[in-house]
Amino acid sequence: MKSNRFLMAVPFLLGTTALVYGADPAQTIYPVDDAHGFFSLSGTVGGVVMDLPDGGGLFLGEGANDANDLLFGGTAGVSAAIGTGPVLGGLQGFIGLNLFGTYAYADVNKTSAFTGPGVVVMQGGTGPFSSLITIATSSGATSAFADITSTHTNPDGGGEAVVVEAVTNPGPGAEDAPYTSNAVVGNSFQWGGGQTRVDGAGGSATAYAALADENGGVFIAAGNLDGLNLTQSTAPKRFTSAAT
Amino acid sequence: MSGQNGTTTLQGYVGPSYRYLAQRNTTTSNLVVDVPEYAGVAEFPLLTISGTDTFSSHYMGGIAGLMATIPTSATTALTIGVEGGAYYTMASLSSDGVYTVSGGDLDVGGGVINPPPAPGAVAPISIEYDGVQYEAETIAFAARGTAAYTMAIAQHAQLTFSGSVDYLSAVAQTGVNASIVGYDGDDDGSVTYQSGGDNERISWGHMVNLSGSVSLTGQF
Repeated sequence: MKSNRFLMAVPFLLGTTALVYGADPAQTIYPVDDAHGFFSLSGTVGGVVMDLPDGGGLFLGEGANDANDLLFGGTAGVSAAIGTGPVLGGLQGFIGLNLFGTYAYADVNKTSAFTGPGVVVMQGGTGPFSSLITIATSSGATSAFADITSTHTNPDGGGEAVVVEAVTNPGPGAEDAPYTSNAVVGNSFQWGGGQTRVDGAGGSATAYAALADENGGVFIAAGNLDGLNLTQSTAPKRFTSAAT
Repeated sequence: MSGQNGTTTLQGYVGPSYRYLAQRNTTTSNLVVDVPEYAGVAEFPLLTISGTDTFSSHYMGGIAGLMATIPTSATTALTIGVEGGAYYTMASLSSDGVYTVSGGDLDVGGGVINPPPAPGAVAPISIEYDGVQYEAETIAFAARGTAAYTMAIAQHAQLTFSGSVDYLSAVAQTGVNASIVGYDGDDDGSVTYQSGGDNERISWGHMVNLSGSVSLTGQF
């Protein structure tokens, strides 16, 4: 109901445009006749550079090459204005309408190489149906641990529950604990693992978790992200139109 | 409406405004966990994520602005303008994609995993999601600065070269529902992620546009 009300309001808003400026600065050097109105029409073309939110994930890792990607495109518009003659004690009045459309595009291929401590979260769709993932990592001079607990209920029934712990205590030493898990019922999986290491330079801990089903999926990496490479090819397209 | 202040012409304007913003992000991400295996026993399988997010946003509100035009000769003028606006904004998101897992070696050595995975390479798994829909609404604010140079090319025709900077405070983007503690300089921390009914998939970011244009104007 809310959407319908606003769509119906659009013609009313545009139809009541009043005291809108002359659509183009050029009008100001046109010799306006105070006693008579006039009609002005402008056509505009140009180029545009857009810096919009990247979207597609949440990058909190230090060293993440999550540069803002610029979009390039063109714009075209039509403006019209009608002079109404003197208003409000001698000021020139205009009623106008501006219409324009802008299209911008980018084709981006980039690799984000993560270093140091941080978190990367990427979600697709709604994220998985009814899931809870908890990750904890810690390391010291002589010990390190990476824990993952992930539970998931599949919308078709069934699901997965995984508990993973990679521990190096006491060091020196190292541990890798990758996992995958399929739902017995339904269409889903889990993926992830923990890594710990203690050597002469101290401890390191990293945990990964991913979960996907027919609603969507999520990927999380947390801890020491040294060596994590995220390669993306992105083709964002944006179209903007406006009426004022 | 406009008025004169010496040789400078001032124009003020106010009115309703509508914007439609469509975004289509086709994102293919190949996620490579390229961590050297510490213990040299297990290998992480490859996870690949591919997805398409499509946003549609409607902005309904009003604008107001002020412009000053300074003649630079008998047939040319320089114009400086500022504009502000406020909009009620509605955004929708449609999302689809696929997650796949393949390869690797789950011979985990001393790791504690419950339930324990079958050791060896992982058979390929592919999960598709399709047609997921979200909606969100907020209030957006807009600002614009414009500079233009206009020359008369005929008695009732002008050519204008202009540049502008646009700012919009709320543009729909993807978001996730994750709580993060720590990781502020070391790898001691925790992450909690929960999907479900309160998961806000749409978040808001700002937009900046730079544009240059040429306009041909005629009076009739």
